[in-house]
Amino acid sequence: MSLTKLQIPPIDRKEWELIVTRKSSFKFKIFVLQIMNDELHRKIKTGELKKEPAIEMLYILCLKYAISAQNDLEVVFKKW
Amino acid sequence: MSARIQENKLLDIQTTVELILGGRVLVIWGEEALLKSLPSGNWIGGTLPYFYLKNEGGRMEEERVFVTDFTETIIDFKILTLNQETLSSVSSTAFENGFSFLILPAYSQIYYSFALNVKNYDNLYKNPLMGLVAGAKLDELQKGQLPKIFNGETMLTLENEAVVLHCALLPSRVSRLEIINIYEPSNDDYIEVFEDTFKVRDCLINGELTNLYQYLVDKQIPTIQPLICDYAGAKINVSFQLLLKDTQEVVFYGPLFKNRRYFFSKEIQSYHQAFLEKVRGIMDEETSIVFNSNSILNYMYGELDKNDIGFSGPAAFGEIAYYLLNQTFTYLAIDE
Repeated sequence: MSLTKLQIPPIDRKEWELIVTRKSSFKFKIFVLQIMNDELHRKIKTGELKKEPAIEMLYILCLKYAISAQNDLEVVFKKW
Repeated sequence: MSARIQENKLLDIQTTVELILGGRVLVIWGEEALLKSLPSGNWIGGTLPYFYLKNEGGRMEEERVFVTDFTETIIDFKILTLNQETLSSVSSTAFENGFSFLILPAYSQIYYSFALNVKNYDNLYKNPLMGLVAGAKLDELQKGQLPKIFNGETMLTLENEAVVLHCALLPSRVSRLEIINIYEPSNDDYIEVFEDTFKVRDCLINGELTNLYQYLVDKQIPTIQPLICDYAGAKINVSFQLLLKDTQEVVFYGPLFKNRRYFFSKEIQSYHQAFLEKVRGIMDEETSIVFNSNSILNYMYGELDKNDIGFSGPAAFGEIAYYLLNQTFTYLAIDE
């Protein structure tokens, strides 16, 4: 599978916000996405970070792990 | 298992010297005297004498060193020595695409600093930050022997600094750091602490102020299995180190953080069996694994000197997978 042929859902999809705010019960299987999402959620809760930059940071990391995150992302986003 | 697993192994000194002189990029573990006898080159290392070995049982090794050769995986590398002030830049000094292998000496100030502060390091999640905590023979540690780490480029032997090997990958390749934790939270009593700490006296258990030492004694809770905290699906272990009767304190190998809930783990009869069951499905989904490590506690309690878990690697005094982990198997996978 080539990296360039893989895509992840657009950043304006509302599911990204559900993930970083943990309003969705979804949990990533990839370790770094789990711990980063945990950290982003905690920072949003304490006001250290706003939702928009948190979503952007998660999006960028998902883009890096586009190959292995495909199954995870399909669970949440279904199609894109 | 369908994943291609890089064979990292124990090598005699002569073979290791040849690899170093051949310009290979290596991470080397072994006894202090063995590491000191090696020539300068593209390597980092640390004192660690315990290894679990595929097909032959694990051992404490005094004559050979355990070598991981990253040369064929990477396209560039750099080795840095970091102190307590510069350690927070560890991820920022990495390549754009690659991974970083960090070694810390156990129970040093820099080890405690890393464990407590790493979550605030800049660019932490940009590339995998993996690595191990160096140790020593258990009886020598008890006598005060200090773990050592080595920067093979400068041939510096260090006791309170960190060394990192930054590796770059081709743009078509991505490295991914994963953990296998066989322990599961019991979902009964949970612990909360008042500050980020390695040592707990009073804490909240199910919301009630409790002396943790007395609680463990009264309930006769075995401390060979870790506490577990959920990080959005990742199960992070914190292992018990000591129960101090005089001060009524409990000391841990990793930090407990405030505003988190720590659960006791469900009892496991056989680490070895539980690991094999868990790893089977995971390895079917991986294509390439270039490094793995396990914990000295899993090595001891799981008797990995007798039980083969299908991998070879060092048994560390703490595993680094972005954070400091305890009692956890870690591995670095490559996707392309």
